[in-house]
Amino acid sequence: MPNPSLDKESSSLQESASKLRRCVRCLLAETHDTIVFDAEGVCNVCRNIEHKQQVIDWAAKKREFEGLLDSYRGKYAYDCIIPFSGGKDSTYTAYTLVKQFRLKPLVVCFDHGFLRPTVIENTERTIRALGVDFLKFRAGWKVVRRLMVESLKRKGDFCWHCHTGIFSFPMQMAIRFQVPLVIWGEPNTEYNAYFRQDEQELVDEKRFNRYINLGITAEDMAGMLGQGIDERDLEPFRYPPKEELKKLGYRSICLGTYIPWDVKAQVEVIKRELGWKEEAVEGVPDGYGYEKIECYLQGVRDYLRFIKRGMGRTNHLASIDIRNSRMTREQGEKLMAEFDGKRPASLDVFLKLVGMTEEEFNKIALEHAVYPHKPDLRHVEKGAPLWDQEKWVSPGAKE
Amino acid sequence: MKVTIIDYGMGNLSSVARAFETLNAEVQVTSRPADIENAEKIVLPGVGAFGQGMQNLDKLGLIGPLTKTVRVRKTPFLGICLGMQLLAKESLEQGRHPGLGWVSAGVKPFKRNGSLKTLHIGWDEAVPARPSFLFKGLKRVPYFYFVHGYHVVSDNLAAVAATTAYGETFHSAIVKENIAGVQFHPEKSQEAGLGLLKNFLTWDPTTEETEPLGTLKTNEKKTPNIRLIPTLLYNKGRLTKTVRFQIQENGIRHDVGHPVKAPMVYDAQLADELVFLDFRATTEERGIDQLANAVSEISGRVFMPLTVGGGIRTVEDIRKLLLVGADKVVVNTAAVQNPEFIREAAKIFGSQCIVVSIDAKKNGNSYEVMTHSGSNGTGMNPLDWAKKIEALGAGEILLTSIDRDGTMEGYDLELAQSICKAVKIPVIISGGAGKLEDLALAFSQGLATGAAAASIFHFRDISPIKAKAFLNRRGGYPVRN
Repeated sequence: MPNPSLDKESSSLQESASKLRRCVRCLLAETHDTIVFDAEGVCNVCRNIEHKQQVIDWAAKKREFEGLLDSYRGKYAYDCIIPFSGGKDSTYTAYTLVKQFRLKPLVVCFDHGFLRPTVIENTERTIRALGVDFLKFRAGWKVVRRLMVESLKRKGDFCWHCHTGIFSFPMQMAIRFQVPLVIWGEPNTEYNAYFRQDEQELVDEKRFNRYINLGITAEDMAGMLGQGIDERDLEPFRYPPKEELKKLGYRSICLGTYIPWDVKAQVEVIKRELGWKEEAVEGVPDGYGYEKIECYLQGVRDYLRFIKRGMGRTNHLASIDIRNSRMTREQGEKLMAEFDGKRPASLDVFLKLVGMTEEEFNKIALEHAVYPHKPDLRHVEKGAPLWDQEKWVSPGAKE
Repeated sequence: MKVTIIDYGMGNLSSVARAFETLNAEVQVTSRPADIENAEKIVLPGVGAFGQGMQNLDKLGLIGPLTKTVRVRKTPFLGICLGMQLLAKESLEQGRHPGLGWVSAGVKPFKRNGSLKTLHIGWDEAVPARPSFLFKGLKRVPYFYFVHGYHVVSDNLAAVAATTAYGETFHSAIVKENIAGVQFHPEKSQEAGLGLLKNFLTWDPTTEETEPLGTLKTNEKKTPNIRLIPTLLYNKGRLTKTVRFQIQENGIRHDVGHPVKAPMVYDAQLADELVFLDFRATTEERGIDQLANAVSEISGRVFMPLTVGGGIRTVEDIRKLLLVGADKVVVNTAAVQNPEFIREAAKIFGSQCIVVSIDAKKNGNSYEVMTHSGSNGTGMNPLDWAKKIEALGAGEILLTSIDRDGTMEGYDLELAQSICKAVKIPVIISGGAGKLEDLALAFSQGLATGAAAASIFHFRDISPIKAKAFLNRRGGYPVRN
């Protein structure tokens, strides 16, 4: 429903976001990608979750998964590859696959370059407790820096290297180690609607191109960066050729397709069993110390999302809690108003890292505002720095 | 599994071959009678005019061997598009022509019906009329890509396997014993299409199909689906994005991607069609060879409709592009210089295949048609030229506002509306889309049948699948989901 008040001048970043149409059940706004509201005003993400909660026979799904694992177990160098960030979902996935399903995995971590101290410690504890083989990879900073600037300009999202690396690199390792089974954590239907309910969400090149890589492949990016780039620099971000994956007989699936995903319960398990520790995140209320603690630029990412879409991290977290009947919509709205849309202190770190002024950053961010959101950056509240900000590596912008 | 594809000089051979190859079939493309007689499965593809199709089959001496193999030996057979129509007793396309007559059916044009365009181009549902191998394993009514001006009307209703509504309800798939035909292009219909071809590979007509239809949900829609079409400008091995038709030598518009990878992305993002143009081919006099090579690579990777142009001058150029996987071709300068070329091309390849592009430039209060990527004036106004194009037999118009190209300031809706109202053939409008709302306006105000866009997909965090969600949200814009 178009909102006539949109054309009036708004007075703050928060206020401009408050004009967006939202789901009557959760807090998602009309600027959320792939959102559609039904006749009752309920969004398709809420409906997907309802489907998950009511329609899926999880006992049958689990039996299906056991059968699937039997056809891979013990036949290759590893039973499966587990892509791993050290966050709650991949930690729970690794824990469950090793302890409950008794697999011998190769745990593969694509390091985006901005891991926070607590996450590094959590990872250390997890891989020792599970006793798994562990492989960590980080792409060269000078290329990553250029990729961040380029994808920020083109798509209003500086995380291209991370989106593509996280999903490409483990597939490359599947080929290198000749391990056909790759098991990821939660399926995307938890958060948006890029796949219909009757489609199985396979973690493949189609999914990668549909919404992971911002519509930009490594081959696209090679030419976009232009001079001074060796094509090999883009290799960590390149989805492996279909022919090679086919030859391997690969199968790339989400654990969350076979067991119901319950974030809060899962966090309790990894805290208890692995000593996994929570951490504070910028612009997020207490009680959510398990979510997106992996990256010290998360605050900047969430701020950018708020400028583009009028939704911050608290909106996302509260929406999940509302869908799972852990919070009322009114409580969520209150939290959202209090925590979302603040300029994070980490923006200073980001600007220094990529060599950009705040004016340049704001200009790009505003260009990428999603219709009909009209953000106003004249009055933005400042957020406090995180305790560990001073510990982050900040190599500066020099080439 | 081996599949024998009949080569009779009518179009989309390589697309069909590649789709089957992707399904790990052994593919034989042939025009030899002996190969047909030894075939395990036969596919008769086809893009073009009915009369020309029958004439080619006859000239190659294939009608006898085909009839013997399919009618007597009962070898499984699939006709696609023209290949389905040729099964009929006769067609009314460009006069009255007899067909193979294997199915008691005729081929007719769509009835003139209000504002409905006379050609059916785009994605539509094929609603199963009864259980058949075609739709085995489907969980919902599938969308397929159609591009045709004529359709099959079967007298034998028992043979009708699916129907599709476009103004009137027509027979979009038939299955009779070992003979199947589909009006749409499965080889260009992404996953649903590949699923159908896979079913054909394992089809055994001697075992009766018993799997019940189940409860397939169909969307009730009253108007045809709109099309969202990314435009890719090919330039010497890479893609670029112009502003007012000028290549930008610096900045992010200079390079916008890889000519094969970018189409794969749009395929995954559920774009309805791609417009792929070697837009400097005429001005730089390089012919169509580079374009044909690029299209050939793309069509081996994506199974979706490709509308292709730049540098086309002859019937042979068109034939070559269709052969490597184009579904429609775009002509501009050649059509302006010799309007009869449109008539000639439509006669051979069918109107549905010939898109004429109009590059319009605003001069004060009027518009002028430009050629040579916007550099040469013609003195013609777009409205007169559009009507002439239609009369000469073009199947579609690609209308671009030069002044809006790359500006992201919105389509020239006034220009769009004047052309879209004046012709009965579909019009794709292009130039200026910069935000989601522009895509809605293309249809609600511009009255377009398709919206082509580039910058919004290159320089914004927007993709066809996101744009479709937006149009769904707005309501009143029927899109393929």
